[in-house]
Amino acid sequence: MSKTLIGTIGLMGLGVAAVWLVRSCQDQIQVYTIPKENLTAPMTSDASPVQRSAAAQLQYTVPDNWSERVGSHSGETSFKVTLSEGDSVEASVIPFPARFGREALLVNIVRQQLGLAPISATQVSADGISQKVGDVPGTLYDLESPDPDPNSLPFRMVMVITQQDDTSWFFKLAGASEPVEQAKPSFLQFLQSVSFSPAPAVSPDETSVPPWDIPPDWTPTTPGPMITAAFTGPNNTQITVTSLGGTAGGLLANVNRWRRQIELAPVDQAQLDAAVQTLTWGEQSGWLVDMAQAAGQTRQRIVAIVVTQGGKTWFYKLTGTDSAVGPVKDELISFVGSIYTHDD
Amino acid sequence: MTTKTILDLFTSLKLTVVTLACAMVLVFSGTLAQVELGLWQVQTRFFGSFIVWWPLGGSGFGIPIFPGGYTVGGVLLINLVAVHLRRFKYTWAKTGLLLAHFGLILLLLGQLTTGLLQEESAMSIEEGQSKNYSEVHRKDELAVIEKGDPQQDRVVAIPASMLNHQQSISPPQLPFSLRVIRYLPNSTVSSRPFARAAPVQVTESGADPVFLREEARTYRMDRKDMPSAFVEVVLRTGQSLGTRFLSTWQAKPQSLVVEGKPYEISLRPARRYLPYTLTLLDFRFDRYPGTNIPKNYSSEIRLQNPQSDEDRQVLIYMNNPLRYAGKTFYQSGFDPRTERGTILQVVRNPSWLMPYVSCSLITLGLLLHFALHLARFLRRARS
Repeated sequence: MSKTLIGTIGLMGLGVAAVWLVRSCQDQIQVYTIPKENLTAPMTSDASPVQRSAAAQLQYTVPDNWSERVGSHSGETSFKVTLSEGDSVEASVIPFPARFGREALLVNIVRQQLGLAPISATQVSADGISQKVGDVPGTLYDLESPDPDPNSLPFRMVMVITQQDDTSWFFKLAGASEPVEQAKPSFLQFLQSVSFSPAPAVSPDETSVPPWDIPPDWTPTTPGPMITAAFTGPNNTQITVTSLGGTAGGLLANVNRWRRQIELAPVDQAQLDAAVQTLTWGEQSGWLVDMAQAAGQTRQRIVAIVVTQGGKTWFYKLTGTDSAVGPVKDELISFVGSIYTHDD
Repeated sequence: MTTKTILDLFTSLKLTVVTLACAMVLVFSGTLAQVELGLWQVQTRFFGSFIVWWPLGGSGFGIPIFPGGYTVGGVLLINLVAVHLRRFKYTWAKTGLLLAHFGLILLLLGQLTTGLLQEESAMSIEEGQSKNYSEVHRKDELAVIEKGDPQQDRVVAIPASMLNHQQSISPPQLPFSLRVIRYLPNSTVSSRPFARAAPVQVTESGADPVFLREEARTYRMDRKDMPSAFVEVVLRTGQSLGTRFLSTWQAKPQSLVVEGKPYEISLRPARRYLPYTLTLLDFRFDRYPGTNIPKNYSSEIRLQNPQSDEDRQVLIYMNNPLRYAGKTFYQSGFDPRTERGTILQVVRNPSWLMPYVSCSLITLGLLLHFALHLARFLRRARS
């Protein structure tokens, strides 16, 4: 047998063996050690701010045969409704931010879950029945799965959708057809007992927010994770208030991070020292930095005030286009000043 | 069949042409099949295999219908190497060809190593959150975590592919076996009843049931299978500790205590732990002014590696990945609900440089070959 042939067959065998070896190693049990998982989690809970604040707005009377489930998630409140003969069905209350609360969309999502074909918004309106939730008008939909499978349970959902302030509320009763029919009167009784109270302040941690005077043309908005408070100012400017422990990486690192966000080159310490402006309120001082893109009709600008106090660093940041930020800069300075000159 | 015949076959130009034609058919049919099967399935069944099989219903068997990517690429590689071993006689004029063919061999080998060794996973991090692992999108694992040590946890990770066809799994590191009663490669689970779902007990201790519906496997790129399994925990003595329902739908692992030691057990996406930690400091989602059209996503990341004493900030954005410790972190997506969470695609590809090197060699070889021929032609023309 020639050397060429041996080499060729050898190469083939090697290739097949390599593929087989790698493949078989990939499907093996792996054993390893990892440090204890004490990694930081997001500072907010799983529920979005809308759902957390929304949940506090609802009062109701729970019927006798209803028991609230522990560990509801995503702002949802759910109940187990116990019926005679041991049957039970589920009832739940789910808040949605208003932009997701469009009824036709919700109804068709539920229809899809039940194996029903989607219908037009007009048909959704026609199918709905008026149903009050407390004093607030709502719409009731009673849907049942056609379910051709003879071995599975027929499934029915009675749901009521209503709108309150900037939240859509979704009240649901679900289970097998007969038990849902039995539970429907207590569900309607529950709906009559519902009352909505005014929405609480948006700030997720009121006890640690310093007292401040909000300028009259600022509108509080829902803060995201890691943000203590957020506002929308004139001309679509955004103002955020954030606090981090310690020095939070230092002023230079944070300034360069903001500069990168608006596509500016980083600066060194000497350049920062020349650019930063010191603000003082009695014994408290802070730093003001003002950064803007070089050119362009809608060039972005960031004005930030950084204050270190009590082991924390507070960031008060104003962002927007250059022309919009200019008039609001003094409002930001006054806003921050109101915090550190507040009478206790 | 004589040795010479076999050798003639391997070094035949006809074999080269047939193999290239097979490659074209494979690429074309794989492109069409992608519509129904999705990219990942096509890559696995058409290109990452020796044979393309036509499945026979749910029997688990199939009919071989065409050579797969490994066969086509392998034969092409063998053909190229065999020709050079048998016929090649080096002359200065053939340097360019030699370089180009060597580049082609590297390209084929590089593609083989990429197919075998590359792994993609994803890290989803919210602002302020730190993570030291990524999750492989298309692979799941049954993880048993021993929690007794105050400093560290020991993880025994069993690939979900083993659950599919094994009845009992007995890792020597555990004081118990896991008997797979039933494995569902894809499922829907909810704590509330829904259409065509059956109630199941999570554990035998009487906790509220959940509702389970088996689903067909999905091949869509934007969805993944969510497997569930019924697993019985059996001590080495044969005593059963009960059957548990495990599912990738469950957010938290289940606890059990065996011989005084606490364990956690869960079915979850396969994890790849890193010896360093990434913290998302700031996620930015810029839109074109006045529109909702995304202009730029960027993630300001804090990278901390205690082994190398590194603690620095990095900005990851589109077309600007972080290459670190043999992995590449790409800005892949974000959490659309909050716009405060980033999704990084983590790619491990040890042979990522091979295509660049091989293409450079091929280009250089062809240029050299052309230049030498041009020089010879011009010399002849002058004379």
